[in-house]
Amino acid sequence: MTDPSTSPLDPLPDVTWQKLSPRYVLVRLISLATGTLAFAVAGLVGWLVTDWWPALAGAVAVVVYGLVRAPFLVRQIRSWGYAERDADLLVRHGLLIRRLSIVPYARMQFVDVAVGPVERLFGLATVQMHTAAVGADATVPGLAPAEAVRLRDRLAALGRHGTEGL
Amino acid sequence: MSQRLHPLTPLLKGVRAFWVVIAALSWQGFARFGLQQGALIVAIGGAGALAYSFVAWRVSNFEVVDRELRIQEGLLVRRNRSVPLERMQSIEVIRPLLAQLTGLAELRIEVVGGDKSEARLAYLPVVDAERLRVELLALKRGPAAVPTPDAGEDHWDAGLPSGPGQEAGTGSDSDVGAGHPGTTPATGAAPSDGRTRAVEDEPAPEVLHQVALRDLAVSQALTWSALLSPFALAVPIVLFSFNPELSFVGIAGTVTAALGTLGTPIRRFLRFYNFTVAAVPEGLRISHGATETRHQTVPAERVQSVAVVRPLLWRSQGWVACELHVAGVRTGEGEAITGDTLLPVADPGTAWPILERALPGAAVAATMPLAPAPERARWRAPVRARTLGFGLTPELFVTRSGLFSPRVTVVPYTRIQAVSLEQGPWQRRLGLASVRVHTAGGSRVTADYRTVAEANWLAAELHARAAASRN
Repeated sequence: MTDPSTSPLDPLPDVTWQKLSPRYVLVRLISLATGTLAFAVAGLVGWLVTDWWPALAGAVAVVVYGLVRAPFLVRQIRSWGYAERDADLLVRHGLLIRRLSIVPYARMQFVDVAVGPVERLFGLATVQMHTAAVGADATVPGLAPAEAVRLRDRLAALGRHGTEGL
Repeated sequence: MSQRLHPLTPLLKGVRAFWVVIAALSWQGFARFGLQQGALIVAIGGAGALAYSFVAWRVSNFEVVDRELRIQEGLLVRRNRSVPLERMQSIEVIRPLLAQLTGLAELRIEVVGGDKSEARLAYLPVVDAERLRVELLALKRGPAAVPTPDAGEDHWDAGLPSGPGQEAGTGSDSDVGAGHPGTTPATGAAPSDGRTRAVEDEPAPEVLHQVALRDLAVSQALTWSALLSPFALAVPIVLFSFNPELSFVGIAGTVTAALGTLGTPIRRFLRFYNFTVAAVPEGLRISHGATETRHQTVPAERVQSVAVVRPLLWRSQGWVACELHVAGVRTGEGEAITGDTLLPVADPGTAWPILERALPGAAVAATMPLAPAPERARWRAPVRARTLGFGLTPELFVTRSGLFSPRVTVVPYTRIQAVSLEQGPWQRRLGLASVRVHTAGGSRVTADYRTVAEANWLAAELHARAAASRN
């Protein structure tokens, strides 16, 4: 498979793509591991208590899924990129199905900065820009808090021009 | 400076969770655990909910910073939402029963878009909520805004709660953002009695077209479900004649299924009965329905996209159906204006002028020749690829797709919210990509399976044209 940086989906010239923080990979891996372990332990305990073999099989299946998912997750996050341009935000992501969105700041309805529990441990934040169209939300995860706030303020300031964003 | 919500908030929200715990336990649960244990579970659950709402209240706050409302909330996932004042569509003060008893109120701020798009502040003292609402509206109108007694002002001044005399239940008064005369409460927010009054007061709207009953009946008979229903009905009859011992339940089941296929066209016939499109100053008025008559006003400036559908089965008659999508703004009591059917059936001669009124230039755009998808697209969609196409006019983006019901969708560049490129694994192998245009109406508008070079060009072009149309 080709490296995402040479992705043929590249409608606008001279775009400098920014990558997500490498620490965000850890955040997602820890989230994946926590979820996987929780299910696996539950299955294991269930098996030990009731001696019902499908519980053990379920636990093994969850662990296998987690191990298979991990490398894809790493590559998926590495494929994520965003670019701030003068009037719009570009976000691209996806490994199997690739998406590249161009969202003008003028269409912004509101901005969320969210910090999850694992993200907080690593000092990261997610910025999400919402538009009036349901499918056209630009999400940039794995930002340093200061960077997230800067991006939020920039989006909010630029989005303020124009009347209602319709 | 950031502000907290009222200290009684966790109590009010906790009480709600208390009821949930009781409901979850249900009478059966009480019967099983016994009254004492049941009460203990309720008490523990209630205390937990209260503790949670208390911590949630401690970490929530809001502030108005530089023409922007910021709301901070969330215990596990901390979320900080910024809503620019310019984007606020309506600001409502809502008072559920418990809040009324304690003199509190919820401030709900709506922006354009789906359900997710709102910010709510619950709970604030009524006085503060009202003051904040007036303050936000004043800020929204501009720094030097002097309140002028126009119709809109009257609306919200009259709606101010008058203390304990207010009616019980959920008191609310809404206020559609200033500067949008097309969305005056009469179109969307007014209760039904207000709507009918508005109809009576106005001069009779100019009727553009009324769908003839015969055409509607024939068009619904010419649908797959109607055409196939004789066969569906024949199956149980044949089954029964060959095997009379068939159980009654089996027969009844197949008959119901057969009638079900006939149900859709009949329902649509009743829904579109007396379908009338009329011109009113703010746009189009659509009314239809046999059992309940629906009236809908479509403000022209809210039309996001239109579509023309030509089902294969209607080809002999040369008929088309027209749809339109409107950006919904959810307001307090009324439903979102979501217009869908512009014409259930019409011959092109009548359809084009109406389409033109809904979206100028759409009739020409809907009939112009479109750029077909490349040969390679047949590997991705062997049959459908032939129907795919897109076109650009100075103001409109046109796409076509669909085999049994080819649909031509027309979107003005001004209405494009965002442009995106999508490429699945199979498309990547073939060197194809799809260009998608997002509109506030939520309808899916794509130019599917173009070559990558063309898709890149089209995305950049649509983005540039959308940007140019905004200025």
